[in-house]
Amino acid sequence: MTAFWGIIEKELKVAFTTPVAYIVFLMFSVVSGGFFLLYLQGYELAVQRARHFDDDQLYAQLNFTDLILTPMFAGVLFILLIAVPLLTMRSFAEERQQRSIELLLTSPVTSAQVVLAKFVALLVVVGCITAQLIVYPATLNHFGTTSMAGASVIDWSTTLLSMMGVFLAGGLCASIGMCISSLTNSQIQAAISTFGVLVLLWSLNGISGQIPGWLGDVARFLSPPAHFTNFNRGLLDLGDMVYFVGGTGFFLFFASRVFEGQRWA
Amino acid sequence: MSDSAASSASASSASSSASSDAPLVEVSGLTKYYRSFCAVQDVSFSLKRGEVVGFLGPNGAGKSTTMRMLTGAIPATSGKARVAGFDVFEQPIEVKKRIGYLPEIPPVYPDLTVADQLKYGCSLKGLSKQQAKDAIEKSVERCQLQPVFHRLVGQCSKGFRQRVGLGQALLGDPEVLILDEPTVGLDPTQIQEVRALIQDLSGSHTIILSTHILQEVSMVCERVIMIRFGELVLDDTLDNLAAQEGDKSVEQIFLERVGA
Repeated sequence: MTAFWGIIEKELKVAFTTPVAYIVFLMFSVVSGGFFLLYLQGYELAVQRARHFDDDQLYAQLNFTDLILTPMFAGVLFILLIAVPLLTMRSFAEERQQRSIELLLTSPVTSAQVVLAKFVALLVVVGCITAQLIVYPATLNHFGTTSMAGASVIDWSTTLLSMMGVFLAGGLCASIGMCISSLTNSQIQAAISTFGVLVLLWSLNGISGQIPGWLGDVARFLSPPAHFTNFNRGLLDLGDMVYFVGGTGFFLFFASRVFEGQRWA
Repeated sequence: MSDSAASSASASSASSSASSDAPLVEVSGLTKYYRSFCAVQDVSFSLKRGEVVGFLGPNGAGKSTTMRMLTGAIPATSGKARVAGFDVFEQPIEVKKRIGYLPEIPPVYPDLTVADQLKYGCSLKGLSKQQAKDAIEKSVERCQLQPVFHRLVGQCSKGFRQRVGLGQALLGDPEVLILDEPTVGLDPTQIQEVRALIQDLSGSHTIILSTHILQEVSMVCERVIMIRFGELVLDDTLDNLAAQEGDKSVEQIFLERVGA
């Protein structure tokens, strides 16, 4: 266990002494801020239109959660495609390149411990990056007003589920990235391949509609955004949880087999 | 210098003969193929507790490969290796607890400070907080790392990086030390110090030392193992060699056996 925590500690130290984590953090805040502004303006337009037509029914349907936060989180999910490969590319590839992996290979730790510890450290970074998204609902909550007395301006349960969805999708992507990083010596190769795999997974959702029959269902099932959508609607579905957690576990297992194959433990 | 080497060699041979019952490191028929290329072919030897062995051979002879197999960094194609009674391939965790390994390129992270690097090394060895503190203190003192203790490893000179690697290998006082060219990149004073350190460790530790500096072998080792094209060509004590080969130096023997 000492080794497990030691690896997490070291991974986090490296993550936060090198600029990558900060760059990804910045990238995330700039893009999510952009989406937020975009949908905020859209919301304003919708409000003006509802006022113009004096349409009470339309007016009643306007709310921050559905019109700003949900589309914003859906947009934010796309940043994972670029952000996660940057975070995971070094995980094993850099160690192999610098030969520092020899220390891990010859230390009395199991391969599963190494992989899991590295993953937990990545999850902490992904968690920090996801957590910053809380500023948007918090801003709306602080400045927004509602016609209904006592009601919250935003739907917190949906918002938090959306954030959880981003986090889980980030975890799944991180496990894929780590797995790919364990297969190569080059960080660039790891980053590009991870990006490619993630784009493929994402696009499966889009093309699943074009594929008839069970193949289309499989394509949709494999795609992270298809499962994220439920979270973003405020639905906590067991199947989606199993997809994210199970998928993450699968890739971690694979990464630990790869690491194991390089040594003898 | 030479008489200090001789005295420590005799001291260590005395202590090794005191506990010479079971060999601490036992290698039999170790073979490694990289695809069809044979890097190590049927190498066998055994080392007693406290022995210091010079592991010699030309570049590409399979020294590093043998060492990496012994430490469990890579699997062997066939053959057996045991350290302190544990099979490297069956109980690697137990073996790894008992080995301190310094690879050719010291396994250090440029983005960590020397202090953090050593702390990390301790946690990988499974040392408790107090043990780690003592072990780091000892390593820093042994390898003279005080001047760079709070510096990033990446900003240290090659010599210091090498010594950080050595300090890391010494953490937790492993019974077996496997050092792959430990004096490369050090200046003459540091080389002296590392040699003195190895002599100092020799009584209580079994040390396998690979090197290209042949005088080093006669200075710190009692025994030499030479390999060539992955095969063992010589395994004898320096005393025996001196008796057989007359006043030939290790260098001359090396050139005869593995050179050309």
